[in-house]
Amino acid sequence: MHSESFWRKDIFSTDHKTIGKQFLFFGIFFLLFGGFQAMLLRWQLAYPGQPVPWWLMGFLYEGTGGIIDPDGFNRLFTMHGTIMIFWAITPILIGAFGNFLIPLQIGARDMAFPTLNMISFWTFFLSGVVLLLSHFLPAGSASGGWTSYPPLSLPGGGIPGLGQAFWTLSVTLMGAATMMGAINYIITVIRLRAPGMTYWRMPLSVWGLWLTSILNAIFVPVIAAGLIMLLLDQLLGTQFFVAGRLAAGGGGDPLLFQHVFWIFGHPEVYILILPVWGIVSDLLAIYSRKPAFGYKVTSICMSTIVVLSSIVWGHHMYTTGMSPLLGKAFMFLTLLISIPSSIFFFNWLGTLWRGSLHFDPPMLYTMSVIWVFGLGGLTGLYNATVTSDIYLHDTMFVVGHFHYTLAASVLFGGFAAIAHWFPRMFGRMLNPLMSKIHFWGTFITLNLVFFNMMVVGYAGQHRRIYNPSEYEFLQPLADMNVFITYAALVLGLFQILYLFNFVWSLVKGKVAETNPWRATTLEWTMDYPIPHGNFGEIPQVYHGPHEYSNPNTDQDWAPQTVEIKSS
Amino acid sequence: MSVATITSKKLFIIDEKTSSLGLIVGFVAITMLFITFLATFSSMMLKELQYIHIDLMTKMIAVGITSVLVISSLLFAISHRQWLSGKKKESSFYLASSMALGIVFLFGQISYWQLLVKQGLSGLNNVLVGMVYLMAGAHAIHLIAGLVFLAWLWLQLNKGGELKEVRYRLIGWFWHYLSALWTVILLYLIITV
Ligand SMILES: [Cu+2]
Repeated sequence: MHSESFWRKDIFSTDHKTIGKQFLFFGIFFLLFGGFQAMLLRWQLAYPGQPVPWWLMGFLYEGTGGIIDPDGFNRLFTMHGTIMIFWAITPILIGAFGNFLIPLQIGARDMAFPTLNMISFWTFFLSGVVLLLSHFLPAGSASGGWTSYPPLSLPGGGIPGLGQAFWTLSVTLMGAATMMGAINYIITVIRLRAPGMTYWRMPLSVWGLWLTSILNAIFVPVIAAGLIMLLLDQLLGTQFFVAGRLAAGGGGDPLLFQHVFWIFGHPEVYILILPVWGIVSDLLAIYSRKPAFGYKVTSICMSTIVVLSSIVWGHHMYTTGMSPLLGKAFMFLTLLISIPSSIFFFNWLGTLWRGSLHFDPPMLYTMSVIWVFGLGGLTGLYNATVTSDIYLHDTMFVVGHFHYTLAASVLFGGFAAIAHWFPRMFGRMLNPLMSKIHFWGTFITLNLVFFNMMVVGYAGQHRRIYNPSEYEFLQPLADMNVFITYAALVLGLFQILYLFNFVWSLVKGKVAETNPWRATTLEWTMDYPIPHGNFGEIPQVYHGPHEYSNPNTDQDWAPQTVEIKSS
Repeated sequence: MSVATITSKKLFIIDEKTSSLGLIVGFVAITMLFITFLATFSSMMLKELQYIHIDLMTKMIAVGITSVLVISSLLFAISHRQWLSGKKKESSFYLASSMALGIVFLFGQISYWQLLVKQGLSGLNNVLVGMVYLMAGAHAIHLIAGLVFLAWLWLQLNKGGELKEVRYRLIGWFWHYLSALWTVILLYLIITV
């Protein structure tokens, strides 16, 4: 082994495994940060205008008499959404597991461009610093929503200070980091697969991460263009997205930003969820001791969704007064996505069918993805349909829906991935008992929170309103809002247990054997710690990633490096 | 399984095809950025948010400036050829002239911008003009990056050390891409404005 200094080995490392762990810690930090903001939001919705209690760090609101003022509320939901999407989900699923898994699972020594990989992480880090700093600006952070629509997000929109500009700058930097990662992932998969590792033999996790990167490479530049224009409007006084009274001469068009935002934004939801689909497809096979049902069909369906996802963005804009014909076209295309989604969804059930199910913690998390994603997907149909969306648009129903698809599915997918690959990353097992308690606590409370959000939304409660009790027709929902808040607080408590479990297992967890889950893929073939360069010799791959219970093998699994001889 | 002795040099060689493909994905990304700018520009024009009037003479100046970049790109191609056939001195000369024309183009763009501002075309009051300036600026930033690569290449040539052919070729790709990109944008603007 060649020796490297601390700086080269642990800080400015070019080893994909180290970079993956860096992304993981970075993402978990922001997950807790964004999660805490969610608790404060829920406090305000349950007890509007009442002082924040000490156990929710009420001292943060000393300046406003202990209560969250309307501006503070706007800042909270803006930063909660922004952080969770771009600085929690993205680094955990794409940054951490993309980096850790892709080279190991395809049999490569590292990413195609290791230095670029390192620069990508540190650009990401810098973007996070800029975002965190914006909380300390004299006039506070951004408060124009995670969508940052103009003209609200422009100087004439009434939000004081530089918060919006910091927001735009940090998201742009984050986009640049994501681009570098995407180039790396795409090329690594194309060029560095081990001999015998054909596209149809790659684990579905790699498929998901690869498709995500392709979407990133194509659509991140689109939002970058929009953000650059927004930044110029914010700082230089151009008028690209200014209209009406605020425009100096003629002005531009705020709706254009919405188009650019959602041309990126809809693919972005698939960018976030594709890695989870892949991981779930793989883990279901491992813990059912069966080949993934319809492996090829699943990867084709995921690829189809990648294509379709780029032509449906208008479903976010039904209420902007677009032509009814255009609305119908977007509705039709959006509903088309339910076909490939249902196909691979049934493939998941097919994998479970008559499998030998092992309910280890990773499997519990994985199976819960089936439930939350199913519910999220089904409620999407009502948002995709013009007639029902005109009623549901901008209500808590939408909030519940996208928390099921993004927050719940991606969180459980992330928990599953961490529990499953923890022994590979850190050489120890995540404590199973604590994991199971965390799983049940999270699963139950999370459903109580997000399902009831859809209920109050269907009853008419708008998203992003500061004080629901001010509207007479929402007053009957007050008890429900309190209930959701308590469920959310308990949900938060279980995440403290998770953090404890994570740290405890890092230090004191049971030392893991090389392949504790008896999985077939390449990342389980070497002893811990995996050296820089991964493989002593690049492995030869003989078959697909899901050879479980093959009648031609002695044990119930055959590693990809072992040839199966038919008897 | 044993841990092989690993020297980072041996393990991580980026081969030609890998770096070429990486650059191509980069081109896709940059192209998407400019497609978004052009689409936004077209949409603003179709909605008749603003108007631009530029007379023929002024348009021709823009064509003249852009042709400098195209010639620079050609000179780079010649320099690459010369280098391949072993004529180091000639290749260094053509590379330097390619770089010089790149710089001339950059200053040409800046003075053209000043010319348009003098004609009353302000990017602050007119979104269409603003988009044109934005595209030119975004292109210029990429061009400056390209010039840095060219300068690096020129230094390598004159240091006399070993230079990998693939580096020469890929820097060339980037330089040609940038001149093609601006040519397409300018043609689009001339046709539509
Ligand atoms: Cu969408």
